[in-house]
Amino acid sequence: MEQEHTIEQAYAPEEPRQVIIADDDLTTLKILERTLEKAGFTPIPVSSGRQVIGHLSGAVCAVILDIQMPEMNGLECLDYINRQYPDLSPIMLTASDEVADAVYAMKHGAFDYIVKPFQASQITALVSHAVHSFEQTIRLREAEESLRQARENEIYVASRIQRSLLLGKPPTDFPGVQIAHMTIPSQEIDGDFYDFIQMDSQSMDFVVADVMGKGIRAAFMGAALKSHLLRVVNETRLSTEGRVFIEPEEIVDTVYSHMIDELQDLESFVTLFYARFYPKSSRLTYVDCGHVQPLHFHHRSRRVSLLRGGNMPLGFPEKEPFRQFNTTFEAGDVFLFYSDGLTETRSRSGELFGEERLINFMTAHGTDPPDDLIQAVKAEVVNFSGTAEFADDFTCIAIKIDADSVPLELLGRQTFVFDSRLDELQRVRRCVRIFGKKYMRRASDEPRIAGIELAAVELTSNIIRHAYENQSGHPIRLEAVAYPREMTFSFYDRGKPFDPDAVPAPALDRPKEGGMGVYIIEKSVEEITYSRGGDGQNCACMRIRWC
Amino acid sequence: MGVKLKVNTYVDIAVVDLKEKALDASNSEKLKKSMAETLNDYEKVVLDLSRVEFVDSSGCGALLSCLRQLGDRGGELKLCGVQKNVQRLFELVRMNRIIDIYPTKDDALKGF
Repeated sequence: MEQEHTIEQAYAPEEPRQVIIADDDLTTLKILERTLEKAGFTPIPVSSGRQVIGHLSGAVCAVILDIQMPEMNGLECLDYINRQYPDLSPIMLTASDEVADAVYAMKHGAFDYIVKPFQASQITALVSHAVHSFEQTIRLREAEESLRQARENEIYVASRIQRSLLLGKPPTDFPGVQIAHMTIPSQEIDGDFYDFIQMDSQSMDFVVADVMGKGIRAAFMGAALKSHLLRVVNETRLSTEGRVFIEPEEIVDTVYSHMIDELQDLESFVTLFYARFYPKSSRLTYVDCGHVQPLHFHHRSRRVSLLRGGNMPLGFPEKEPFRQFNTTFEAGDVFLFYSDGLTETRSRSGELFGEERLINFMTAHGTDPPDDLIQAVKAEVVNFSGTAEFADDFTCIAIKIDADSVPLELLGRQTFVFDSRLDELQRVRRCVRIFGKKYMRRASDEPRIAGIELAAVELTSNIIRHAYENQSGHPIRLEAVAYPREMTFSFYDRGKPFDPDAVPAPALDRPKEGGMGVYIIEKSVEEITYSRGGDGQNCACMRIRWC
Repeated sequence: MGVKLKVNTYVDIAVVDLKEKALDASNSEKLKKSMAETLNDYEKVVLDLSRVEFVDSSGCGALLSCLRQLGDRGGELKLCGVQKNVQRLFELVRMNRIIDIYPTKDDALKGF
């Protein structure tokens, strides 16, 4: 009802329809006036362009303009009407030798033209037609306007929900990390959200999620998800007296069971990344459910790796147990979490910003302070797309590990080079064993040493067989580094890059002949990261920690 | 050149003594071949791994392949003399659930 009322205010069709007729020939003007009166219109006769302008108003629904007039001619007047009253499109009156002008007028917004002398019936038909078209245009524009207002209203409500409910504030006093965060809402609100939860003095949880879809529905779904999440966390807190007993995978699993019916009813789904930082022990535990993979900038090697998880988004029909992964970090490392709005930004030519561009950017800027880093990421994306308006929400959070939170003393470093031949595997084992034994001297360390040997052989044979495709004569460089209670073994090669996500998990209920290598490595060391440097060098780094 | 192994026969059981220190990607294919040639005439086989200090995933793959070949002909494969580090790997990939493993050769022979 509101909508109809708005239209009537702007244009009242029950009132007589005013038609301005402009001709400096008084006889023609008289004929036009009488013809239009008979047809039920209210003609306003004038004899110059300037007078037309004086009579234009919201009540005028058609104009007839003679082309040749004193003061302001028909074409100039047409031009003015086009600019000031774009819904009105005048009918031009021309003498037979002015047809070229009439064609010009048609190209510049005239409704039609009539060549003098004319028939009364011609005029009536054309004016009726023009008035009808004018009224249609007005109705359409009014409908569009109210639709736009409704949309704006929805965006306003959704953005309020997002601002007040969905986007959290980082703890200001949590030692060991620096946090910078930024969200730029798009014209259409997504269900992006993130939050920080300080579980106890040892750990900080961080969650970032993206609800499929846009607008109020996505914002509400995000709010529902967040409230389930906080409830699970708070209930645990109450029951465990200050110590965290619930693991991230259990939190995600509980939230999943609370949400799955709602998600499936609405045919919606949520991608989510749940991370728990332990700055004092330099560990990160995380669960990934189909979210864009966060970047991990390794300060020491200046390389970037991805935090890979592999669970399906919440709301997908496949339900597997949620698996959590562990990784470790060092002083100066930076984790960059973001929403797909960042990597899915397109340039003017339609090219995607993409993950690789972000990785390269992070590799170059990872040492910047977190605030500068996310501003620089934003500037880079804006520069790439050529606009500061984003089609999707743009979320970016950088978490940097403080330099003084994890001091590590270097105990030893050694570099080995192997040839890409399988008969080098024996030497790989020997080198790794001798290096490891220097720092793990107890008899009870033997299983760990055997595990490192095994992982090193699996990694090297993968490099020989897949990166170098069984071609001998290529170097594989191994850099072994030892710290107190920690060792890293980094294998460098220049062969084909390796994507661990492309390797399916082995079916352990029925072991098969292939595909076990990646699984064995993951189980034998605390952390394995694969990265590719800008120099085309692949690096597989395994980290071993012990007590 | 194949892998080094020695075959002794106890009535209808072949005992294969694998004379390699490691079973990895550099010799697992050869093991599959040598075993296929050796095992054609037997249905009951014991593979003695007491000299093997190291096995990797492709070594496991080769053992599984032997198990399958014998199984296809209605035969049986048993392992003995598995060293601690190798045993840990077998447990990690759950091989211990599908291949019978005995401490000694005699235990394995009695197992048939």
